[in-house]
Amino acid sequence: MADPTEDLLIRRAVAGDRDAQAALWAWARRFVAAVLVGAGAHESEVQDLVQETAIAFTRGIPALREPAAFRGWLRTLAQNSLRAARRRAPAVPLASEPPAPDHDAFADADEVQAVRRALAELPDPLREALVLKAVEGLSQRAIAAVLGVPETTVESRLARARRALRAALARGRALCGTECPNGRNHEELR
Amino acid sequence: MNTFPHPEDPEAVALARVVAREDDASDWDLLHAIAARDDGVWRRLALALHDDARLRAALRPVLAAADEVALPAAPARLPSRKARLAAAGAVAAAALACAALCLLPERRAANPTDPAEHHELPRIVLQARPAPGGRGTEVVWLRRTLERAVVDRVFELGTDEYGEPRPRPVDAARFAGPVRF
Repeated sequence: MADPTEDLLIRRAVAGDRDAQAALWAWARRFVAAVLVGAGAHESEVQDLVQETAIAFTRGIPALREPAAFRGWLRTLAQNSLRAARRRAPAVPLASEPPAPDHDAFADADEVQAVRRALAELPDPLREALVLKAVEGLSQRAIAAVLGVPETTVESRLARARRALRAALARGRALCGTECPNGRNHEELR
Repeated sequence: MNTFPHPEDPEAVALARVVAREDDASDWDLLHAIAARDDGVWRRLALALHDDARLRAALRPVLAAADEVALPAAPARLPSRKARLAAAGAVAAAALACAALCLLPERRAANPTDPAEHHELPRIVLQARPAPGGRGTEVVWLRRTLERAVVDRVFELGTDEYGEPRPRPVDAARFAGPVRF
């Protein structure tokens, strides 16, 4: 992590500064959610998994020795939370899930579900890179550091992910025909 | 700068870099060159940007849910397992050294660092004054910790006829209210 402010925050959190830990977590929890979504977690379970990751974060942060490894360490915590949840109960098939109940308009809910279904079709490495980029806004270099892969691999994955997402969304449009949400059914595959 | 050699479709890489706002002149040069023979590239760019916006919108509720998750109540610093064992040893020694009333968990050892069992209350500042020497402020505060454990039986630590420390069971009702021990 190159940002000296973040670096200082991490060091203070590691040293046991409770305020620094809270501030660091407030910054990091969206990253945790992005990792979980990238790893295939469903929206309905993300909040619980973030909570479990928060507990692991509290327990583990004093042992973190290298601030630069913070994101990678946090990613491992989030993935471990998801793996533990999967051992307790297998993933719910996406197709059997109801639309998100907290959306005002059904069209919006359909749109959200369409995008999430398309995202779920992506292979894990592509989805993870895409979500970290789109949601967290991490640079390709930062994503490479988190994933432990070369930057060129991240760039390649992002290109493939966006192309795959486009194809999956277009397939969704093709399947729903003229009944597509918002009437937008004119997209075509490359 | 897009200097990496890619096996991928160069157009896909350039579009992804534009969407990610990591583009540079070479990406636009490439897109313009493609557009010279296929102006559909601009439509594909528009779709890629639209997909990105849709993706971020679809995931926004998930992030909002994450924002509600705060750290659990916990002590200022959770010691390592080694430190906890050392601390447990010190606590045991202190318990044997005093003849005061003690609570001895019998069923299990309550983990004093468990966030659900161990809460640090707000600190109370007792005194704040200019530090000796004129630099900084000397602050004296009281750190308070609330702990909880579930035990099978309650013991107090007393001494036997030889003066050796010995735990002896006591009625838990004795602790119905605040008790100093």
